[in-house]
Amino acid sequence: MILELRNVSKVFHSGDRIVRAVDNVSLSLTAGSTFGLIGESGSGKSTLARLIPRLIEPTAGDIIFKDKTLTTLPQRQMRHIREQIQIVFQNPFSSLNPRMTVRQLIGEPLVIHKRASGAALEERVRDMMALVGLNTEHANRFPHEFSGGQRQRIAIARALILEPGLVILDEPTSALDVSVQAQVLNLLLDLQNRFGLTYLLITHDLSVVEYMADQAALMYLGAIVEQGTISQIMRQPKHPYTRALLSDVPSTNPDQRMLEHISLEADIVSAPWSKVGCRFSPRCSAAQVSACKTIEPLLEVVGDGQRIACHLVNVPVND
Amino acid sequence: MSVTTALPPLVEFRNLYAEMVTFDGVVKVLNGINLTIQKGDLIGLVGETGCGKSVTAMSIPQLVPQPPARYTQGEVWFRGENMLEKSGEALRQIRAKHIGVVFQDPMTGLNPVFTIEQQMVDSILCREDALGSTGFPQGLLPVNRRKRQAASDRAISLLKRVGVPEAEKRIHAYPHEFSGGMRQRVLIAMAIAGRPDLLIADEPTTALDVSVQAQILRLIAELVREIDLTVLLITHNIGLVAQLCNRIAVMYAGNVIEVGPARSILTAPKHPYTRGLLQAIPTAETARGTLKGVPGMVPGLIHPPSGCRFHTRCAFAQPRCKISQPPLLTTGDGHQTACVLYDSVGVPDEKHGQLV
Amino acid sequence: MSLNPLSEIPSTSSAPPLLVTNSEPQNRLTRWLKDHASQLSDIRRGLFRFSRNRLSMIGVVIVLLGLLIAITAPLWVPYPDDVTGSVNMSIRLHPPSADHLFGTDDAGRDVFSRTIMATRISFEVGVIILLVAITVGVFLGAIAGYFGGWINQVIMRFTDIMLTFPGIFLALAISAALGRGVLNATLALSVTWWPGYCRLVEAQMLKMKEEDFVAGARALGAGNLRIIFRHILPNLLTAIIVKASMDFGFAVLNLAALGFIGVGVLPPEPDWGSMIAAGRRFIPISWWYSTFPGLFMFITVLGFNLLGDGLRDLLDPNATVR
Repeated sequence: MILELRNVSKVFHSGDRIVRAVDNVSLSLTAGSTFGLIGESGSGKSTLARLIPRLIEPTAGDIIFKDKTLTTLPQRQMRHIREQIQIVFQNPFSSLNPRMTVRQLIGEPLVIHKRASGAALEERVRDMMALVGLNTEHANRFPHEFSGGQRQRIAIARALILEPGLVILDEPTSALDVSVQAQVLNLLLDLQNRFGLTYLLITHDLSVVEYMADQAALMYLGAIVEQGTISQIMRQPKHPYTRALLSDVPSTNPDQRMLEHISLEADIVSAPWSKVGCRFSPRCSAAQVSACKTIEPLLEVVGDGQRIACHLVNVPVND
Repeated sequence: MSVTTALPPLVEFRNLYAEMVTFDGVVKVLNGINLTIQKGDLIGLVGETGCGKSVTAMSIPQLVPQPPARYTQGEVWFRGENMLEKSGEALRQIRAKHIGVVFQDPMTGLNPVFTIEQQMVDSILCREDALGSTGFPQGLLPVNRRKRQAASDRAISLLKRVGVPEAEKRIHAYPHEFSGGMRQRVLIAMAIAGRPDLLIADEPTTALDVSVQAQILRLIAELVREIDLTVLLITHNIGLVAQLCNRIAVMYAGNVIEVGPARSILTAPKHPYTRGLLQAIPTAETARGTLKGVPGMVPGLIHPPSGCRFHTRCAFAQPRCKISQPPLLTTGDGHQTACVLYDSVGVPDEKHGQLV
Repeated sequence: MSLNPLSEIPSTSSAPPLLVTNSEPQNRLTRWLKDHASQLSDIRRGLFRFSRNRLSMIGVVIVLLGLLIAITAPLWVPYPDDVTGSVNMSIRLHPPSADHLFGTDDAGRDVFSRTIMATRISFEVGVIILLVAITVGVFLGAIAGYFGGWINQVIMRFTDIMLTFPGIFLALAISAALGRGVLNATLALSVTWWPGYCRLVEAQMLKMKEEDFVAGARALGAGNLRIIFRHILPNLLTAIIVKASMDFGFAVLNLAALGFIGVGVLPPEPDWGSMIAAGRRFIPISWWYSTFPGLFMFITVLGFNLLGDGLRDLLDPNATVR
């Protein structure tokens, strides 16, 4: 286990309102694998991504990375840990400092952590650029001169130059065109094979998760509602949210007409959770029992390692 | 659905060329667009960033600012009139009564300082009486009570139709009190308020969650049936068009390179770019690491590649591809492709093998 | 409804041209030029756009001319002694003539020479005021904006207090305390100028620190100071430059105002303000005494304003097409 999250929570206070962005989340990642964290807006997935390297401080719970408990480390030591946990952000247009050249951007981790300088740094930067498929002649250019896909490559190069153990990918290809996405995904896989990287892939795109991940978990309003291997989640989804989400994804296969069956209605704003009972019940179209509105379901094992948080555990699977 | 029908098409692009003048040079953004849209079509205009799909679609209501754009050749026919020759009041009437546009970002599409009711009433009155050239929101003026009330009632029924709960109450709210999906519904309501002939939706669900996206799609499909709407959907999401559209047009670097019935394009794509695009989408069957795509990058359009603009990235490129952009040729029932591989009367060139 | 139909205009620089070189460039200059080709093209583009704007070009010309005069004045001023205070009562209050382009003042000194030298002093003081104001203001604003909390409260409330003092009063107070003279006037004005920069930088900093690239830098392990000065401040540079170019004119104006009321540049040193003040008594008849310094001051301030406007149009990120 390279990363373990135990009962991690993050609570935001805005005025007298309390927002549980991340609510009691536990999961573990095996080294060298890819874990997919699936969720829509408001699910807390991005907050969770920032909790792990303690860019935001968790309100409760433990984060254990390579047997070190990060949550109790003083900030000074966190800097050292940050060499090993890197993040690639979603928006390639805003995640790179517009005033820094590519060379400065990619080389900066080496400078901050004093790992190289001068000619050695130059060489490392060039090697990284070549590795991610960027023309080394462009090292003096600014981000705005590159396309979205190239900017993501710069972000990836920057994240990997310190050879981290864990890379958190927060929607790495959502802003990219489909053919560029394919190139970037293949690059990520290639680099993972080469360096034995562990990926935490955060996305709302189920097809990307299926392509890249070994294990996955679905988040809804801050909590994990279903967790398991990719095959379990995609082929035998048990939680109503997972099933609805899967059916809502427009398939490029014209024979799979999705518009007919009822799936997810309303949204998290117009059908809010009243903090009592199952957080998904306001939008759940399955036949609910009284427990659904009163008791919050816990994440329980229902099969071969698959877990879901739902009172209707024995919902029949009909595809 | 066959392309050759007795009815004149609702929209017809005839060899449309357009350029944009920028400091760095002239961007040749449209390179001879040929496309027909029949009444009742739900056509998806698909392509990646920079292919010109927005410019193409926005040429119909003439919403492309001219400078820096200019149309150098060709025409855009809508309801039997050449839109390139329209201007002023005539153009405004057409926009008000016959075309509805839904833009991409529901967060900025509504004016934050006016209530929904004020904005919808303004929109409805604009369309019905073609008023509003003062630019002042009609909803605020103490103009003709009766008209205003009628417009307000219509707004409420529109909101109900697009699925906004508690419409009578919610209509007095401000945009920021709505979620993205709800705002998009409001924008759709405003767009169809005048019962337009054509609805142009430019990436209407890109900024929305998957579940909300599905709801919006369903809404559009229903509206098409109910009010006999023709829809031009611009998107880069092929799943959307697969589920919603009956026809698909694929664009690349300023050209429509393939167009036809949705099923035909998705199951038997002909153009190498279309194939590459479809192969780049991961599906349940894609084994890890085998995702192919289209190698290379979209070319800049100030100095676009000569001839077929795709030839620099095409695995099947031949010397003659550099010479001229191939025209759209019929390669099936209602299916057209712009590629030399099919130019012997729509029969694939056997020499170049695997394409069938 | 706000319209954004051009969500797709192809960025002209989305695909950087492929630079295929097999041979080593001949010398360092060509290599440097090639490396920075796109930046140079950006600058060229900027200059081109700037030059399109008539008024800004006028501003640039005025400022450059002023700068030239300020720097070279001692070399060619026709009556250098008059500047430092020689008295020549026989030719007092002579109207403009071939000998004395702007006429002479009540002590027989050449108004032209004195006006020109006053330009030099104004520019000197202006530069110093801005340098001090920017250094102090930017530093305080950056710290206040970035760290927030009580640091922000302390700094910004202090800034608020400073903003309530009009420069003139503060200058009067300081001269009363420390004596008159250009040094104290400069000090007083610098002290009243930095709050503007502090506010500007604080506001921008509050916005910028939420940007993705800042989170990215933090995720890399960058420390706070590095983030402030290496990452965020370079992005604020254009806003600061625009404000500084506008402010220069006003700084000069303020100095002149101080000179006018007698608390600034001390006679016999030439200063537009004090010259205007001194010449007031003679206005209907010996109009040249006040008029020419006034004209120079007006043109200078105007020039800086036009320049500032033009720079803002040019550098404001909202106006830039990317």
